[in-house]
Amino acid sequence: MRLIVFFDLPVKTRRDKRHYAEFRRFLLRDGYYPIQFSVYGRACGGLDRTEMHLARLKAHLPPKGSVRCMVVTEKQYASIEVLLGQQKPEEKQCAYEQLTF
Amino acid sequence: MAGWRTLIVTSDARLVVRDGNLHLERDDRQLTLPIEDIDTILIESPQGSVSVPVLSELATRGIALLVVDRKHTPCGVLLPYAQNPRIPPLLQAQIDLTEPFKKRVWQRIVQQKIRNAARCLDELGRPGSEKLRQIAATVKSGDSTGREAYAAREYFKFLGPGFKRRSESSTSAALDYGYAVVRAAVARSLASTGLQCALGVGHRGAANPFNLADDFVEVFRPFVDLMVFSQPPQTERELTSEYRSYLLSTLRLECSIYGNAYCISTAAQEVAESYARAVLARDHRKVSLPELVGGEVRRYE
Repeated sequence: MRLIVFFDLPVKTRRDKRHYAEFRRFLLRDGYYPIQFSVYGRACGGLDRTEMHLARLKAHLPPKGSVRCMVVTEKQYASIEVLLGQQKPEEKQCAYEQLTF
Repeated sequence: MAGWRTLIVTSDARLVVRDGNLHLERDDRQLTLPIEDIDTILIESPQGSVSVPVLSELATRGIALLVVDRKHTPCGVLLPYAQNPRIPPLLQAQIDLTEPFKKRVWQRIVQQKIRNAARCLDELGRPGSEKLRQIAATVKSGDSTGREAYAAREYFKFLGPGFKRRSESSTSAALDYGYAVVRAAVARSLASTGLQCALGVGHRGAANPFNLADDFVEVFRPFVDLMVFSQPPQTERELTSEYRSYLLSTLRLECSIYGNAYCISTAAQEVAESYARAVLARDHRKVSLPELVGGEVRRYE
């Protein structure tokens, strides 16, 4: 299962910038990888884990701006068509749980 | 919550911690993986390197890191040490365990092992499971009549006619590999639960620091057998890296504990915790053991 987070955050004032940086840092530390600017994704093993990460996300929201989140299955995520650019290794379908590097 | 991903490092990658995540890099590619998602890391390459913060982070979270010898067989595991506040009372309770407790636990392990072996034969469509189930029913406390050895002899006769367990064949090597992987998972679970692995119930080797792991790995052996005999290695001598990775997926096989589905690596955790509860309560009935069910690999959608 994948969590996909989309966000637009204000960066006009210093305080806004700080909130933005804190939010982005939370995403990275919680294991999200950047898909594109302001679009982050995370692979989750099962429903319990998806709910756990979603709860953490809600607990770390910045005060202002717009944040959306979508949950898709691995299969749906794998059907993303990359029209231009490269897919990241983190985006590889991970229904097999076993990863070779 | 235990991790759900197994990582095999087969290249000359460098493992470091970055932003609280595990970061792997080599010349042409890199990968970032959340540490809390990881269950087991197997380092198969002699060129790879691991930073000390990685080791410390893995030990803190109770994630197993396995290293292999020159023949690619797992030969070492990083175990969490003293993470658990229960250790002193638990250790004392383990030392104080009575002989009847140990004998009862060993009886149940042997029985479950034989029943799992019987189910393994069923899954493979081989005869003999009825005979094994009859043997399982006659196991006495502490297996004083040696039913385990008898059952094992019968089991391997049915499992692979003409197969010699101690031979140099690739099938034997595959079994050794699979057992080593599962043993590491069991040892890691026991250690992270705060149990002392040297104090076994059936295995009492004075020089063996993993007696308890060797006890509990017995019930898991038929899972490895099922993997190996349902898809035996094709090559004569060395196991291919694809086959080793197939064997590692044993950790994701489904099993059942009191009707609930687990994969092997979480089942090992559950077994370890139930044993700790049993030890503290001095009640052998609290030990839960995994039952082989379908031989399905658990996947996360």
